[in-house]
Amino acid sequence: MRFNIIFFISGVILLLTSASFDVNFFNFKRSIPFEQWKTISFSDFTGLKKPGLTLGDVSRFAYIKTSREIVYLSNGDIRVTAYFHPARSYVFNEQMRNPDLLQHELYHFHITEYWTRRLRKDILSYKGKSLRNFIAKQDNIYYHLETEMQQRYDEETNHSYIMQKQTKWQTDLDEKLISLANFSSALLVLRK
Amino acid sequence: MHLILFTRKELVSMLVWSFFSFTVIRIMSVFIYIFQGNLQYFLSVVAVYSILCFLNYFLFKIRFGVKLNYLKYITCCMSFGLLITVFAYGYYLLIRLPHDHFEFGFYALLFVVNIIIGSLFYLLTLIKKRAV
Repeated sequence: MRFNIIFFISGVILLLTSASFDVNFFNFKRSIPFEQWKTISFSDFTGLKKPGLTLGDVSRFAYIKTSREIVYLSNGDIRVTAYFHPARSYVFNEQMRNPDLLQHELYHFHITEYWTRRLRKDILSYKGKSLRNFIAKQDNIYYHLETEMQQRYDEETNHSYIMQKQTKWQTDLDEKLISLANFSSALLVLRK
Repeated sequence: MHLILFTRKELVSMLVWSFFSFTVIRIMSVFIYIFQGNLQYFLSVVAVYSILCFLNYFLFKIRFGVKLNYLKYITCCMSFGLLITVFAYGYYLLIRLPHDHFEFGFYALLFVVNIIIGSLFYLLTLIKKRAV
């Protein structure tokens, strides 16, 4: 019995420790939707960097975790939201917390929002029968396109260090979002 | 006729040891994650996974005075693999985000490789007995 208790408690401690590197629940902050992106600062990047991860090993200065969530409401409406996850995002060290890097990371969030608006547009214009299947398929397609765009953004700007490219990307993304301004609301009213 | 391989106490012990082993593998992943997707990562996890599974043999000896035969030992290994996969899936369900995928293939491969390596470890115990 003592064996079971000791190893179970040890296991729980190890699990909580390792889980904190996936989601820092010791300093947890709720996910932030895109409409509140202007409130985000580096103090919101509360995730824990994995030990041994150095700048020399990976080409990252900061890491931002974003995602798209689709919620089917009971009244027939759908909510499609792009989120930033503070407890899963981090900066390598304090000296790197400059406005240019923050701007770079926030435009990763813009990329997520762009593909989210594309999905909202597709949902609102869909006239077929199986809407959920269509949404799942489109969401998956846009997820892969978004991943590719995120990678290209990092490569071309070198994480904000190539200012010319960074400015160009920001301008392009702002234009893309403006062109989809009609689809900026997360709530899609579909009920008749 | 009932085929009872393990007593209730032994089953509980296997469950707790599997859970503990899962957490050891998880914390190890935090420190060696940089190799994730590489062969080094897989080999490191296989090594720790197999050793933790093989320790069951000694746990049974020490705690219950039971010398596992091959059938019991392999059943133990398979249970260990299944439980690790269940715990890993449960963890994934807790922390996942949209578009995160559970790597069933990775755990299935670990399961199979562990049966093979576990069998080799069991052979070693037989060789040692003969040498004595």
